[in-house]
Amino acid sequence: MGIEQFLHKAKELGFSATVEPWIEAKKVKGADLVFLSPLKTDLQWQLLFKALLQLIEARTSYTDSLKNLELISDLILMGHQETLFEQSHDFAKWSAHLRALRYPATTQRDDQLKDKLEKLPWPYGSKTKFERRGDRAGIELKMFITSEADLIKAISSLERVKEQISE
Amino acid sequence: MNSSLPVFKKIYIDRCSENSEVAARVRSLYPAEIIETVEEGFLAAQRGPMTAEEFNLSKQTLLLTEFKGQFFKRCPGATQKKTLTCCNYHVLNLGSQCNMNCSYCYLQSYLNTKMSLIYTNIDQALEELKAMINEFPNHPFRVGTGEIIDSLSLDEITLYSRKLIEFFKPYPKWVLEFKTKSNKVDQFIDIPGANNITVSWSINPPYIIDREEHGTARFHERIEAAKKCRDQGYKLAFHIDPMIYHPKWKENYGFLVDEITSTFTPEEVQIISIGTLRYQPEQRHMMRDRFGVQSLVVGAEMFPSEGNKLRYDATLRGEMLSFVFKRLKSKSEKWNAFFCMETPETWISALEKVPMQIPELKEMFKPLPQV
Repeated sequence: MGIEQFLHKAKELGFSATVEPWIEAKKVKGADLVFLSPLKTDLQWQLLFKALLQLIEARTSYTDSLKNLELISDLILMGHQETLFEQSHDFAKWSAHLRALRYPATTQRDDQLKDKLEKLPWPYGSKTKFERRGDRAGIELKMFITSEADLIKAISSLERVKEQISE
Repeated sequence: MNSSLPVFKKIYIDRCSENSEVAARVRSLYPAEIIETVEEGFLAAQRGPMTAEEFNLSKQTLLLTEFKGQFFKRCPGATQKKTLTCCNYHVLNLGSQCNMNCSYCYLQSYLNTKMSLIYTNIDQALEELKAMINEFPNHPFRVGTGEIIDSLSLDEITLYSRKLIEFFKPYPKWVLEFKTKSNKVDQFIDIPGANNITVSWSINPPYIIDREEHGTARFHERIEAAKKCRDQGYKLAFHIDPMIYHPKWKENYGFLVDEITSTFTPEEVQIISIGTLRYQPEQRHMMRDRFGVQSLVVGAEMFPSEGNKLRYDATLRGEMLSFVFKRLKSKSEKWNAFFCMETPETWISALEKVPMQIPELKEMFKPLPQV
C-alpha cells in the first residue's frame, strides 16, 4: 500500500481533510500501512477511515495509531462493522474492546485467570496487578519489606498462595 | 508430460548447470517451450523482497543453478540457543522454495528469490558432508534436507534421494532425514532402507490439512507413503508441527495420534516432534494478503514471545503440547516424542522437565561439535 494510493482512497471517500494532515504530521510512510492491502471494498475502507478519525480525535501516538489500525483492519476483514465503534468515546476502553474482539479466547482466559489470581491471599499491604506480557499473563506483585518479621509474614502468605494454586 | 509431476510455468537453466544430470532430466520431463537457458547474473537479478503476487509466482517458476555457499548448516533453532531448547538438527539445503502452499510456511518471511531453486551441484554437497563425516564419524549428527525446500516433493525431478541414501548408508552414526508433506516416495522405494535413513512426514489432522496445507498430499496419502517406506525397511518420523488451535483441536489431534499409533509401532518411528504455530512478526502481512483472515493461521490469536516470534498464549501452548505428548505416552511409553523449537519454560510447564532430564532424549539434545 503506497501513501499515494491511501490518500487517493481517502479523497475518493471524502476523508482527506482529516487524513492528509495526519499523514503529514505523523510522517507515516507507505511501508507503515502494509497491513491495509487486503482491504478491497469501499465499505471496508469507509470503516477504516471512520476508525482512523476516532484515533486522530483521541490524539493517539504514531505507534498506538498504527497498532490499532492494524487491529481494526483485521477486524474489518473478519466482518465486523458497527461493533468496531462500541466504546470508541474513550480510547483506553476502545482499545481494550478492540483487543477483546480480535483476541476473544485469550481475553476470556485472561479474565478467568485474573479473577482467580486476584482472589488469592497475597501478603497484607502488597499490591497486585494482572498483566499480559506478550505470550504470558500473570500477576505483578509489589511488596515493601521493612523487617525480618515483615519478610516472614510475607513468605507465610505466599506459602498459602502456593497451596491454593496447587489445589 | 507426466501428470503427477510438479507444475512449473517456466523453467530456467543457468549456463553453469546446463550439463548437469538434473538439467538433462528436466529436459526429458518437461516441454521444451517452457525451458530456457540463462546466463550468469540471472539469479542475482531475481533477488529482493517479494509481494504476495511475486511469492505466488515464485512457486511456479524454477531455476536450476549451482549453490556457491556452504551446503551443510545447523538448524535455525540452534542460533537461538539462549531462548530455545535445541535438538542438534543439521540441514543440507539442496534448493529453496516449495511447490506446495501451506498458509503458515515460514518461507514467506525467509526467501528473497523470485523463483524456486534446485541446486545442481549435489556432488559438491556430498564432498562437504564427506569431510564432516571423516572429522566426526562417531558423533550422532542428524541431517535433514527439508528445511527451505521439501525433501521429496521435487525429488521426481532431481532423484537426489537415491544419491543421498547410498551416500549415508555406510555411516550408521549419521542419520539422514527426508522431511516431506508429499507422498512422493516411489522414485527411491526400490532401494532397501537402513536404520540411519529416516523418511519423515510433517503431519496435521485432515481438518487442518484441508484448510491450511494447500497442494500437499492428503492425510491418508501421507500415511500410505509412510507405510510403503516402513515396509521397505526405512525408519520413520512424524512432525506434528505446527499444531494449529481450533475449537475441535483435542478431537482432531487425538485422532491424528491414534492413527499414527495404530498404524505404526514405536520401533518403526524414531521420533515424533511436536510444535505449535509460530512465525516471525513480519510474516503476518504476507499471510494475510495470500490467505485472508478466515485462515485459522492468519486469524489466530498470536502474541510476541521470547525470541521475537509470534506464538499462542504460553499456557494454551503448554496445554496443546502436553495433550499430544500424553496421548502418545498413553498408547505406549516407548513413543519417542519431543517439542520442536520450544523454550525451557514450555518444556517445564508441559512436562515438568527439560530434555536433558529425560533419558530417551538426553542423547539427542547433548551438544555436538560446532560446524
